[in-house]
Amino acid sequence: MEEQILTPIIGSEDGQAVLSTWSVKAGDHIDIGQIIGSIETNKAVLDLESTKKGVIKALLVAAGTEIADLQPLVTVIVES
Amino acid sequence: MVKTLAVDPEEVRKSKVIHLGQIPVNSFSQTFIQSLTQLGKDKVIFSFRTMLIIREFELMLEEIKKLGKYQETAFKYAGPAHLSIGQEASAVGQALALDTVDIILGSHRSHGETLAKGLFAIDKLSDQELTKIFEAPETKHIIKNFNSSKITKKEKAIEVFLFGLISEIFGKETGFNKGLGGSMHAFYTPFGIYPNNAIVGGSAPIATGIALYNRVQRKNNVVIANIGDASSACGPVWESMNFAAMGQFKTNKEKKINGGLPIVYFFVNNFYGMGGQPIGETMGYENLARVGAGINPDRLHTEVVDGNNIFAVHDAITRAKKIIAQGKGPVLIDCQTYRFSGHSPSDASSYRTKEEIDSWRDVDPIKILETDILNNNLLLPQEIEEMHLQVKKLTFDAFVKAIDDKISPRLPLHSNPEIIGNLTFNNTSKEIDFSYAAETLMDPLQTQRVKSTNNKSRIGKDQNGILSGVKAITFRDALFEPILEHAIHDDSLVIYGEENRDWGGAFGVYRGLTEVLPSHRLFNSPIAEAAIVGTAVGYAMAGGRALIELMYADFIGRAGDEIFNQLAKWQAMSGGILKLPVVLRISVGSKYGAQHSQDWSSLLTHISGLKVIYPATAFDAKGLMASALESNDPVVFVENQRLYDNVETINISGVPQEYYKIEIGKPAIVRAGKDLTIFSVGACLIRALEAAEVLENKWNISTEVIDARSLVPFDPDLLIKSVSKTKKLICISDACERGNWLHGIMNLIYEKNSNDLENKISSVMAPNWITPAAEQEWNYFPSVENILDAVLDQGITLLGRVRTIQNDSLNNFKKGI
Ligand SMILES: Cc1ncc(C[n+]2csc(CCOP(=O)(O)OP(=O)(O)O)c2C)c(N)n1
Ligand SMILES: [Mg+2]
Repeated sequence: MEEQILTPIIGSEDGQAVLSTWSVKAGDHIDIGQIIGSIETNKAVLDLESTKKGVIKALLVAAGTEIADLQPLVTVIVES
Repeated sequence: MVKTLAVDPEEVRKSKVIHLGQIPVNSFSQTFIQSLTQLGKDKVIFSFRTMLIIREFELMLEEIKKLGKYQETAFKYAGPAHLSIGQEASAVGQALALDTVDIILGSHRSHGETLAKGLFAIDKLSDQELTKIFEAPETKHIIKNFNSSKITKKEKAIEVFLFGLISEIFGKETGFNKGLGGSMHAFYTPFGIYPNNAIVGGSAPIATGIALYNRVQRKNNVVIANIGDASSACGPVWESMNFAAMGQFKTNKEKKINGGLPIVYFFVNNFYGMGGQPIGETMGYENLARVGAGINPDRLHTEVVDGNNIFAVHDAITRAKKIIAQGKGPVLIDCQTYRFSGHSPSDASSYRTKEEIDSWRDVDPIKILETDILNNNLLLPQEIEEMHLQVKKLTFDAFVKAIDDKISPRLPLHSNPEIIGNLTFNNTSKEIDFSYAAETLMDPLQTQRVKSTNNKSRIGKDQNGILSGVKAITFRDALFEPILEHAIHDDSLVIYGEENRDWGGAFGVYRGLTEVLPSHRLFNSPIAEAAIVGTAVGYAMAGGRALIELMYADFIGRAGDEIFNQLAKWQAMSGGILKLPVVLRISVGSKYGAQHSQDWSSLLTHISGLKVIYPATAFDAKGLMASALESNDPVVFVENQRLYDNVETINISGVPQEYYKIEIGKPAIVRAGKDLTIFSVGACLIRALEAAEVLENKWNISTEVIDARSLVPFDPDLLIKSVSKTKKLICISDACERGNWLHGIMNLIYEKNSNDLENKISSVMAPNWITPAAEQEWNYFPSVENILDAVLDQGITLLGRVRTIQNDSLNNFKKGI
């Protein structure tokens, strides 16, 4: 089954954030809580943690893209 | 500290006992002969004579207060005289162990410590050095009517010193600080005597800040905070002791600046406040010294010392200096002594028995030393008698000169009351030296922060509209840029506050600075607002420059004394001798309810001695921060949290990359117009501009919008000109209505534009009650709707619009809201 990992609600004034780096790629196996990338806001650089366990089907945004709260970032083929 | 201090649950949850250890009481056991051999006859006799001078000096003040004369010469003095008769050994024992460069600060009862430190300095300095000091620009006003050739003689120097102190007490221009400090605030920095303080415990944070300066600037002198026993109840005193003992001074990663701060908290314990008794009545302890054990595992090396024995005090300070030299400070000394005199001359001493006072007179420190001196044949009885007479003459000579209006005039305030006003600010600055490279940990250009800022657009708009804060420079970035610039070019600048390192301040303004600055120049303070501000005052007094932060304006109350009485007052109280280059960043919150959303900019302007800046655009934030950081005056820099993420869309040319300054005190026309003027304070500017846009588009009304930018000082010319053109004025501010700074501006405009105004001025301010929850904020703070209502009040027709809310100011006055 496919599920998505969303941008967390960052709580910055207007959700302004950039997906600054990916540390995983399509085909990688990921676990819940694993750091899969970083998000840069004006206030801080935050780790993006996986909320799913499974294999990455696709990264939905390129590094350097502006992202909004709750925007889908990764499609994962989840393991049950 | 980031990921270096692990919190281990196994360790935390273990059963164990905390050992507090022991605190020595009166451990000094040296005989007089031993002390004499150690110190030599000259020092012992000099100490004795210094005690006599202090005693006579204070008897002089007592006689004047009680009888209106001294040695039959009449003089009236209306001010305070908190005497330390009986406590002389504490003051002299201390000075005996200190070097001239060591620094003391004191309390309302510190004539003794001041005299002792001064006399020992005179004893140690050469005639040449003394002449240089007395003729230096900051001190030459004292001797302006003296024949200075005679001052080179030490005995004359002592008389001048007494004269300077007496003149200060009597409020004369020839006083140490031009008579603007008085009895409780005298100081004389060339001899290492920094301000005494009329606020109980007030010297603790300032002394701690001077110690911070000594540590950061790698100086070896120690600082002594002389404070009373009753001040051991004061929050700022505890905050200071903890600040000086902060763990990070010992675990500093870079190992360059290590060890607790070089300071002694010297409690002059006379067992009374005014009449209340700390031990057994107002405190929980049975011994003041116990508080040391609460601060750190070293118990602050606390000792209880016999304050009636100069040798015991000398020994304790000497050892404290050794502890401090090893980086193991701070130190607490509980110096037990007793004042025979009342709290003040009007004190009837109803709170203690005559028997108690007599029993302490039996151990009068002067008597004790005199007996030792006589018994050991250091002086003959008649020599002591002569010394007494000679000290009386010395005091009298200084007194007579100090009351002589020809030698010692008063400031001519009747003809020129602004003399004091003009000492409030020095209006000088220290420009950034771009050729100097301060100590840094890495090249700022290599930090993620600077890399991403450098990639951003300097203008907040492009052909597609407004850019986001990750694409364009924000207000937050605009603040960061000059701060970084000053930090990397000035080693004397320290930056601290709550969560300032690593986190970068609660709102991320300092993000990236942690990588650049060593941890002694950018650090996390304890959650101790009084200590944050008070130490910055001391740091600046000592010659440094401090950038500090209070996370929310609402926390100003926690640092009330330090902001209002210390930061704001010392420049004027020192007669312009001290400079306090401190930038206090304060952010105004939103969305967090009544204790986190108050705009207290008006409150700050009520306090004389603070410059208050409140920018609303990224362009202004950058230029004004640069000016604040180079200013030698204390500046409060108010930032509204609503603005941090804003990109620059108001100043169309954006935020220049290069360093630039905007003059403090100048408002700006943000939008030109002809029908109406809106004058805005702080973040209201955004709403004022929105209202102006609506007025233009819907009703074709041309509005001039002026942003105050600075509240103190403030040049009103631009506003006056605007009102003479538009003839209508609306003022807007997020601060509460009662006591709002704008009322003063409105009065001024009524006066200056009396013939221009077509209507009474309208104002839109927050009401005099608490801020509601986030979702309801716009029913509280001035909104665009409120501004449009005010436009109606100006007699302007806005077709299709009627007033939304009625404001019953008369009734609100009656109700107190
Ligand atoms: C903050 C503050 N509260 C109260 C006072 C009024 N006051 C002046 S001296 C004093 C007693 C201080 O006792 P202590 O600290 O032991 O010093 P001592 O007078 O004994 O030298 C008080 C309550 C003050 N000056 N400052
Ligand atoms: Mg006391």
